[in-house]
Amino acid sequence: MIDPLAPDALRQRFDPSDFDFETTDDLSGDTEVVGQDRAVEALNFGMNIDAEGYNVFAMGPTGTGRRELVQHLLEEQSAEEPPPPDLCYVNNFDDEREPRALQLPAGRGCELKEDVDELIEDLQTALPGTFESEEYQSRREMIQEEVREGQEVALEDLQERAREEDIALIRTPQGFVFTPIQDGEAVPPEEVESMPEEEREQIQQKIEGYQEELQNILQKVPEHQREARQRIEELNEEMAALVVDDLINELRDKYANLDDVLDFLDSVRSDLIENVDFFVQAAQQGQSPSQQGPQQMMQQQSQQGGGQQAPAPDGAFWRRYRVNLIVDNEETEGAPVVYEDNPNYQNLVGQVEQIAQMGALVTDFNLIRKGALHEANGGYLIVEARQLLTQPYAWEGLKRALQNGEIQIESPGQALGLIRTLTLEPEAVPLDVKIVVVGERLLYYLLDALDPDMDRLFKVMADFDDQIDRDEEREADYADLIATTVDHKDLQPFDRSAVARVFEHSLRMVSDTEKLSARVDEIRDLLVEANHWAQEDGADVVTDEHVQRTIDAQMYRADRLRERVQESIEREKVYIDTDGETTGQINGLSYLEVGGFSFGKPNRITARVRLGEGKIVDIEREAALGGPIHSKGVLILSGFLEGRFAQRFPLSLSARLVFEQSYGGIDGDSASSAELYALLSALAEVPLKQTLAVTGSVNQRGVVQPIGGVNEKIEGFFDVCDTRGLTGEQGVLIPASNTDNLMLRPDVVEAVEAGDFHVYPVATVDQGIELLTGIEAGTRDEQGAFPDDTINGRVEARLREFADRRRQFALTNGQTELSEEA
Amino acid sequence: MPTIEAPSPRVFRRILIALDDSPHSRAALDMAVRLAADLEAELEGLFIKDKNLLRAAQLPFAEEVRTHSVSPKTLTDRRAQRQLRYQAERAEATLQEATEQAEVSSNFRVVEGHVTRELLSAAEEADLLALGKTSTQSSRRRLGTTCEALLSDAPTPVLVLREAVRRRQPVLTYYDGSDPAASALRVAAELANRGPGHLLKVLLPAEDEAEAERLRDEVHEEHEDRVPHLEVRPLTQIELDRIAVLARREGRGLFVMPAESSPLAEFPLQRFLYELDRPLLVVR
Repeated sequence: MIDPLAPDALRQRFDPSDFDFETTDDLSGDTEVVGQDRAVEALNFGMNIDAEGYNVFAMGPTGTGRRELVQHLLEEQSAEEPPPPDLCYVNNFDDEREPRALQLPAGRGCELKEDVDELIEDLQTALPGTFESEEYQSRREMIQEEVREGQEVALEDLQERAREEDIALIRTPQGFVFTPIQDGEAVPPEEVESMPEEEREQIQQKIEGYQEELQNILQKVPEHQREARQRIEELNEEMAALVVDDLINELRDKYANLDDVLDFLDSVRSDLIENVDFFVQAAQQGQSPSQQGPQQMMQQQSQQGGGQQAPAPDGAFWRRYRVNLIVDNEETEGAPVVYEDNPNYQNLVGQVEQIAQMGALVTDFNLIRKGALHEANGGYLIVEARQLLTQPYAWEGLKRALQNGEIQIESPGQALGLIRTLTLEPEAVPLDVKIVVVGERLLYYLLDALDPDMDRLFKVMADFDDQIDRDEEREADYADLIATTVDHKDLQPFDRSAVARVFEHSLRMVSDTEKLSARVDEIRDLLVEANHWAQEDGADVVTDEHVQRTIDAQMYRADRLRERVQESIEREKVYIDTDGETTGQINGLSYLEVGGFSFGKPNRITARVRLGEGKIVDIEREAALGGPIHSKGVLILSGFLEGRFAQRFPLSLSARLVFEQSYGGIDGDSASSAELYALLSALAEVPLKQTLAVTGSVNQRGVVQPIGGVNEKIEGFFDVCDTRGLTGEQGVLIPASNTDNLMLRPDVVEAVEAGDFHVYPVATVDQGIELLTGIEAGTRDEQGAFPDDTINGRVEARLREFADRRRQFALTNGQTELSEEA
Repeated sequence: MPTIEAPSPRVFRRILIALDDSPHSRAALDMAVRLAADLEAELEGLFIKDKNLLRAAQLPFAEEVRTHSVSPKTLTDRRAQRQLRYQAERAEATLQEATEQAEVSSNFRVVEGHVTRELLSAAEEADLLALGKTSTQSSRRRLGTTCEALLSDAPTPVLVLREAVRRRQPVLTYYDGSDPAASALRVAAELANRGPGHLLKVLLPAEDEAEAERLRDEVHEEHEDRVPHLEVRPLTQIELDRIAVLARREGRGLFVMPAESSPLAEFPLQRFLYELDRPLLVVR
């Protein structure tokens, strides 16, 4: 018969005096991460390798501080890197639909923007001024006069010559007509009629001659006008160039080493000169250019929507020369590390906004807005996988940017080819960024399985564990991690007893005495709550008492369902025996998890046997209340029985197994050992002690195998017994291999210390049945038979009896049974 | 020293406007309407069918040369009549529209005859004759014959202008102490008073300081109380020689000149008008 576990084995204790500090104030508090070597190495690799597609998918359970750690590591790394260039968008004067991107050394973008704004301001006064100036006006008039005069002189000369021959040039509403005159008055028609034909013809000929001359003069008018226009245009350009060049050359000197900027300035210059008519008109009409701009400018450039006053009086026109500074790295130190907390499509790749103007949506390059990719370009971008995947097209957009190695701003509708309204196609910007996607393992595996691009774009995976291997160094780090949180969250210092208690809780969280929990979020919550209780008490230092109180309070808050279950057992709505002996009936243990809170509860399992065809019926399965793993556990039982007892005769039993009072379905094989004990008891007709409860799965050879939730299960049975009063007989059989998972509540450990409760590590079914019945299990002797007074002997005898009776039954064609009953 | 009479409450009761459906005639109309509104005067539009043109059109070989046609078109009497009738209708419509807006009473008349002669005779019954400078593009070198004749021969004050001016411009006049100058000053004062500008600038010839002082006193004595903003400016001989250019720099308001005053007499009218380039009102 095996011995119960010593109290020491039931709970791993941390001795506060082992710590070499008094409170967390004595610790440096600069630990951001403990363990996670694999993930950290992967991240470092991903950050440092300079090759395409080496982006990182940091995966692991939530609450392990993945994101904070990633951010911390990236910031450490990026501090030594140079800040990336500034990014501006400027008008493309050749094609306004495709604004140009301009990259400048960090800090110079802002400078350029300010310089160009200033340039615009200067031009706004200087240009109209030039065209209002007397010099310009007189030069312009001179050209017009010159052209006009040439024509007038010709006309007057003609008129003069005609007059000498008594022929007048008269204006008609639409042109000119020649007529003979006498004393300054037109000759009346009658007189002309009465003239001799010769004279009349002479006049007519003269008139025809003059008409032809006049025609020639008039035909040259358009030509002259064209010439005048051309000369005025030249003059305009000359005057404009005078003003513009002066201002622009100043900037050219300043940006002499930046070819792109020089190109831009050149294009501004030529556009200004090309559009000079605009200022000329404005100057002549005394208007500001905004009121009357070239048509195409108004379409795209105007920002005066809905009658609002533009910031500058003629902002609409001047917008086309402005610099839209998208990314300003003037203040950036090191490479940027950007965490985009809302990674939708637009926030990632940027967007072109539009404004409503006279009922239409218009836009220009000034309305280009940056996305997180622009901001992180040259550095690092962190996004959460779940958020990324739940935003429509965000994942696709991100992938496309990575694949193409550039950021192309398109609206999602546009990218899909759904929308084709007038919009912009800003020049793509080369992308040089490391992306770290942080997400759950499931998402990574799903993406890896379903998205063929995954392998190419996210070549590095950083796998975060939810457990940390314990050793001295790690424990020291873990304590420092607590100190870091205390420091960051501005909590009261934790003394070493409190830290020890946190350590113990951390073990319990992972149900493993060899590991610490990596769910730092939960640990942080625990610290914050403990601090709260300490403050309630007015304590300066948080002690183990406060930590325990926090744990109790957390438990109590989540405890309603467990309490109801315990209550229903106590009030005997659910039947659980904790004393006496019963055949074919045993206390199994089940494990429930609701909303992050888990607990164990005892369950009565019963078995009935009779003669049959060798089938063990799992009632849970028949009723579709049992899951596949549970069914598997039950099927293994037949395997065990056949293998051990029915080698030489058919297994002629029919057995039924049931979880009594289970209404909600059940899964898992952790009850299979309990079921086997119940079955053996029923077969051997030996009662089982109801003071014990059993957990553990079993294999076909009768070896008891480990299960999960061992602590909760033990505590579940303990609570039932404790309520009824501990007798010293009660205890729980657990798989021996679960011993190092034990991290029981202190009150359970106390009861064990007092000898009121026991935990038995069971390695085989034989050990278990001996404990449950107090009878030896028995092993086969030399003849291959089990001794009669052992459990195994009785079971084998019963099975043999079943087999005999079955053969009998078959031979007499059922008459045996009838006659016996008769 | 001529006595200066107190300005009558209405200097011009009837304003005659020569209409011919051209941009400058339209400008003259606008100016006339404004004056009529300010002075509560009546406006009379006159459209003259040019007798010379009609005669020319009756000639069997009459042909019209147009700016934008390749070859001359035959001009018939009917065609000329139709064109003139159409112009007259347009002119009337323009007049009506302009006067209705300004709430000025008006009538419109079409006569047939020699343009200058008809205008001169019509001007006898009016207090002011307004006309646009008829010469289209040749404003620099030659003034239209009609305009020239009217400016020198018309019995009434004549207003000529090339383009409409904005309101709130000071009225400018020239005072040399002569009778016509006194009338001109009176008219200018009345216009400044009733117009929106309320500013009257008087230019004085000042061969010597005493003379200038005397003229200045005369102006002040007579008009200081009547005109809200009165400004007097003596001119040096050099300035006097360039009075037209000087006046142009003063803005684009009305320039009221006494007829037969030295500047008008000394300069070719054509050049004077060109240099002035603002509405000119010649008062007799």
